[in-house]
This record gives sequence, C-alpha cells and structure tokens, in this order.
Amino acid sequence: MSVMLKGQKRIRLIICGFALCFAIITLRLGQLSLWPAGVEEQQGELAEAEKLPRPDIVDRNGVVLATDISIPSVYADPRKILDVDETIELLTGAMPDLKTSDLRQKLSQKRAFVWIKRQINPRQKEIVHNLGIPGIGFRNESRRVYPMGRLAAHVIGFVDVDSHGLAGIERYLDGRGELYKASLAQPGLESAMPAALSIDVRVQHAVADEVTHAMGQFRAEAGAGLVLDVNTGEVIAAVSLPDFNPNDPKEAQDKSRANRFSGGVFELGSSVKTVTFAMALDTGVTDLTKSYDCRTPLQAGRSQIDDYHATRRILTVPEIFTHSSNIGTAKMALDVGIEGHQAFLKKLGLLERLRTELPEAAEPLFPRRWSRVNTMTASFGHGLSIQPLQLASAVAAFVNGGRLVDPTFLKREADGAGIVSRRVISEATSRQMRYLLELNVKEGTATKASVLGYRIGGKTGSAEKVIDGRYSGDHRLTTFVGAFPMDEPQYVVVVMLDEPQPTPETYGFATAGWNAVPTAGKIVQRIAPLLGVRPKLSPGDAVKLAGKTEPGTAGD
Amino acid sequence: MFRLLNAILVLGLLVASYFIYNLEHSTRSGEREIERLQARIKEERESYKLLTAEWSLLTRPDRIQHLAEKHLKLMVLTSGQVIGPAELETRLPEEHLILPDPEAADPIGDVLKKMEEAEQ
Repeated sequence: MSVMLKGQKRIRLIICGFALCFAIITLRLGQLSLWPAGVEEQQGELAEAEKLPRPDIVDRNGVVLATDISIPSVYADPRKILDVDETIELLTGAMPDLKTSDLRQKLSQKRAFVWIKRQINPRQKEIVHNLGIPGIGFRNESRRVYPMGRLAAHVIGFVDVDSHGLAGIERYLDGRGELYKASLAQPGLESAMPAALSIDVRVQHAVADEVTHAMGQFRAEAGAGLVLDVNTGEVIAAVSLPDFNPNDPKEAQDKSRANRFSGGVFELGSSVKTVTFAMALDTGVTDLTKSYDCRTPLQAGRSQIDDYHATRRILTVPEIFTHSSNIGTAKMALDVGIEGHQAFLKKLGLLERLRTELPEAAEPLFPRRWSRVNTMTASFGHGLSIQPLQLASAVAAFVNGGRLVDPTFLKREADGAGIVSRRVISEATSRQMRYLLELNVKEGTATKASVLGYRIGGKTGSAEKVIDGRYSGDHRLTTFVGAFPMDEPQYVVVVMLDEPQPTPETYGFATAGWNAVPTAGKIVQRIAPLLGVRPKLSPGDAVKLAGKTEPGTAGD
Repeated sequence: MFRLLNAILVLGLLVASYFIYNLEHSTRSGEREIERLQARIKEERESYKLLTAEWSLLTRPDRIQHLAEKHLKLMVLTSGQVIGPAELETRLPEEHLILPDPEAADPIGDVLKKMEEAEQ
C-alpha cells in the first residue's frame, strides 16, 4: 500500500510539474498571439522620416501648387557587389552622366553604403531596377516641388533644404504650431488635408501675363496686380514682378524681386483719393451736388498744391473725382479736419500694418506729427505709404456696401463662415462711391479701362517717386484701382507699374491713364469669363461690337 | 479506461494542433498580404502624388497659352461672344455639319481634314 502511495505521489508530482510547464507555455503563446510585440512595425518608416512632411498647397480649384514627392536615389553596398567592372558598365549604360573613374573608386571601398547618384527620375529608376545588379539599391528622399514654377511664387513662398518654410504661405504653415505638424506627422494619415489658397491659377496667370506684357510695352521696372473678392476678402490673384522660381529660390534673395503687393509700401498717389471721397461723403461734409473752387493753387506750408490736369475753374464733387483735382480733394479733406481724417484712415486700417497669412507685411509710412499740410497731401496720396493690398481692401469696402473684410490668401468657406467684417461707410455712401468710380471710367481719367459689356469703375493714380529726397517728375509709380461689374461689384482689381516710360503709342505720356488703366481693362476682359461674370451688353454696345472687327489675339 | 482516455486525448491533441497550425499559417499569410498591400498602397499614393504634380506641370497656364498660340487660332473671349440661353436661337451661326462617314477607314481623321478645308 505504502509502495503504491509512494508511486502515486511521484506521478502526481510529475503531472503537476508538466501541467505547470504547459500552462506557462500556453499563457505565453496566448500573450504573443493576442498582443503581438511591436518591434518590427517601425522599420519601414525610418528610412524616410528624416524630413518633416508638409501638406500640399492647392489653389481654390484644387490644382496642385506645392507637393512633396519622393525621389529615388541609387546607392550601392560595395561588399555585396560580385563584379565591379560589370556593375560599372551596366550603371554607366543606364545613367550616361556617371563617371567611370568615380564609380570605380566608390565601389572599391570596403563600406556598406555609398551613394551612386542622388535624385534620379522614375524612368532611370525603372531601368536600373530592371538591370537587377546585386548590391545596388534605392532609397527614397522626399523633396518639395512647385510644379507651377513662378506662378504665384510670392504667395506660396518656398522652403529650405530641410523643409522649413522660409516665405509666403509655406512659412505660415510652419507657424501654425504643433497641432498642425502633429496632424501631419502621423505616418498613417498620409491624406492630410492640403492647404487651399484663395488664388485661382487661371486668373493669376492672366493677371501675371498682362502685367508682364505692360512692363515690356512701357519698359517699367516692376509691376504688381491684385484681384480681390469684395465680399469674402479672398485674394484671387496676387502678382508681383519680377518674381522668382520657388524650385530654385536663390534669386528670391534679390530685393527687386520682393513681394510688392503686401511686402512693400508705396505712395499710391491719386488712387488714395477714393479714400478721401468716401470719408468726405460718409461724414456728410460734402455731397455730390457741392462745388469747390479749384481756380488757384492751394498754399500748403512753403509749397503749393496744384492739379496735374489743371482746369482753373469751380468744380463739382464728381468733377473733382473725374479730373483728379488735388486742390478740390485737399479742400474736402480739410473740411473733415485733421482728427476726422486720421480717425477714418485708422478705421480702414491704413495706419497700421495689414496682417494676412503672409509673413511679408510692410508697415505703412506716414508722418508721426500730423499737421494740416499732412492732411492736405495725404488726401491725394502723398506722404502716406501703404501696401497695395490695403488700398484694394479699402476700395472693396467702398463698393461692397460699406463693410471692410479682412483680406486672406486662404480659401474661405463657400457659405461665408469665418468672414469678419465691420462697417466703415454707410450703404448710401457706398452707392455714391460706385457712381463716382464708374463715372471716372466713362468720362474721367480712366476711360481706357472700359471694356464693352463689363461695367468697370475705378480711379487712377500717378505718384511721383521720391528720388534722392525729392519728388521726381520723370519717375512715376502709376496705379489703377477699380471694381467690376459696377451694378453689383464682385471683384476689385489693382494694377501698379513702377516707372513706366512714355511710348509713341501713348503720345509721350506716362501717367496711369495710359499704362496701368488699359492693362486693367485687358485683365478684366480676360478674367471676367473665368470668374463667371456675365457680360451685359446694352443695345448701343452691341452695335459697337458688331462694327469692331479687330479682336485681340490669344495672350494679347 | 485510462487507455481510452489517453487515446482520446492524443487524438484531440492531433486535431487541435492541426487546426492551430492551419490558423497560424493563414494568419501569417494574411499578415504578409496586409504588408504587401500596404506597401502597394504607399507606392500608389506616391505615384498618385507624382502624377498630380506632373499634371500640374503640364497644365501650367503659361504652357497652355504658349501651345495655344503656337497651334490654335484662338482669341481672347470678348463680351459679345457670351450669350444667354434666351438669345441662343437667334445667335446660332449657320454652319453645315460635317458628319463622319462610318464606312471610311478613318472617319474621325476625315472629319478633321474636312473641317480644316472648310476653315481655309
């Protein structure tokens, strides 16, 4: 009995031991199959995760303006190469620009990794891949490319070799903080939302093309063009010439290639009279029926204010606008007073730096001590330097019913959510401003902007540039700021030309009416169909069109 | 008694291990499939990006304009050329249609040729 017991006990012990072992193995197996160890997951990502992924940049219609593409580079592991000579022969056959001597030196090294060629194109990769040479491999490197090249370069900006944004929207994307980066850095989330700009590439190109054309025709040093949606504040096109290629941003360092529509401030001249008129009409110190004596030049300190298109007679308010009379405008500003003038400029944001998404935002220049003379000169755009974008946004407010909308370079929601606007002038004043602007294109200084079928309104400006501390009569900055269609304005157009020269076709004139204005007209004619603005032809227009048989050629 | 139990257990072990190895095998191949597909998805995404970039490059407005100027006789659209649906009836240009001949060897080519002739 005792022997039996002894034997049973031993067996039980063994059974227990085995059961324990199997239980441990079972548990471990279960653990491994239910929670697999996360060791092998990371490997694939490491090779490419050196650079920060950036979101694509697209235009308002989804056309790609900037994207990261991974570009293959060929490397070799010399230890695995069987026949150096054959390898060299095959590689130089596939990529003729490789040097045999270099290759031999590289492949004879006792290292595990040497670059053969960085950043090859997909076709070359295909060829090398198909050769199937042992010891040759590919590694992908991500690179930022801007397929549209120079188009909208000032808005998009560019990045450095480590994918850090240095200018434009690229810089803005960097500055949007960790949240934005985190949403991008997730490797699984490759379909990160692209940044949609307010720019329309077709309109952008049309404006760039016309401004380039005008610069060539009038031998201007530089030019700029803006198209702004008056209701949403979206910048549809923003051109500054000369520009640069963001794929090779070395030339962006050049100061003459800087952004002119928001990165620089200019004395925009008579275009600023729109501001003075809106102010005088809105504060009620004048109305469209009043008249001002513009017969004699106005004494301002030690100098005189005179008119470029001098009429030497008593002008009504609309006439002051269409003749662009400095005397009349200065008198209207004086009626409003220094404080009122400053307050109105402040309300429009013209005395402070306009901040959009772009880091390139210049600070307005104006005298710190504001006297009567300053009010007089600032009323017609002298002694007050602002960004062209600021003027565009002010004029947008004058024609859209009186609401100032913050301009943006990013696409806004279609339902208008997120638009911040504040009333700066009354709707009645806005109607009067529309009337004045359209009148000026019909019979004033901007008649060359008229395009049959599209009701355009606008104001010209020909500011003399300050050369060596003096206003120079020969160096001008000409501008046109206008809106269309005037029955219900949707877009503001700004054209600026720096030092346009007189040509035989302009009869020796170099003021805005002869260069910036016709350029704006051509721009409107090209972009209105793109923007879905239907032309409205009066019976008279139709007759004129029928008689006209010399339409421009494409790209003219 | 014991013998029967052992036999059943051994049999059970064999059956269970067969199913487990089967499962293991299909899981492994499933995992490989996932990996392969993910790599392909990544590849496709990359090539999609490359293609959209290339599409952008090829549809650059300045390039299209250059090509249009070189090969087409197009003009900037003037306001008189845009009409509403109401005017459609009165404004349709008179033009005889060139219909493709289904019997011909190259019907579309013939139409293009005829259109060119009509233009000149």
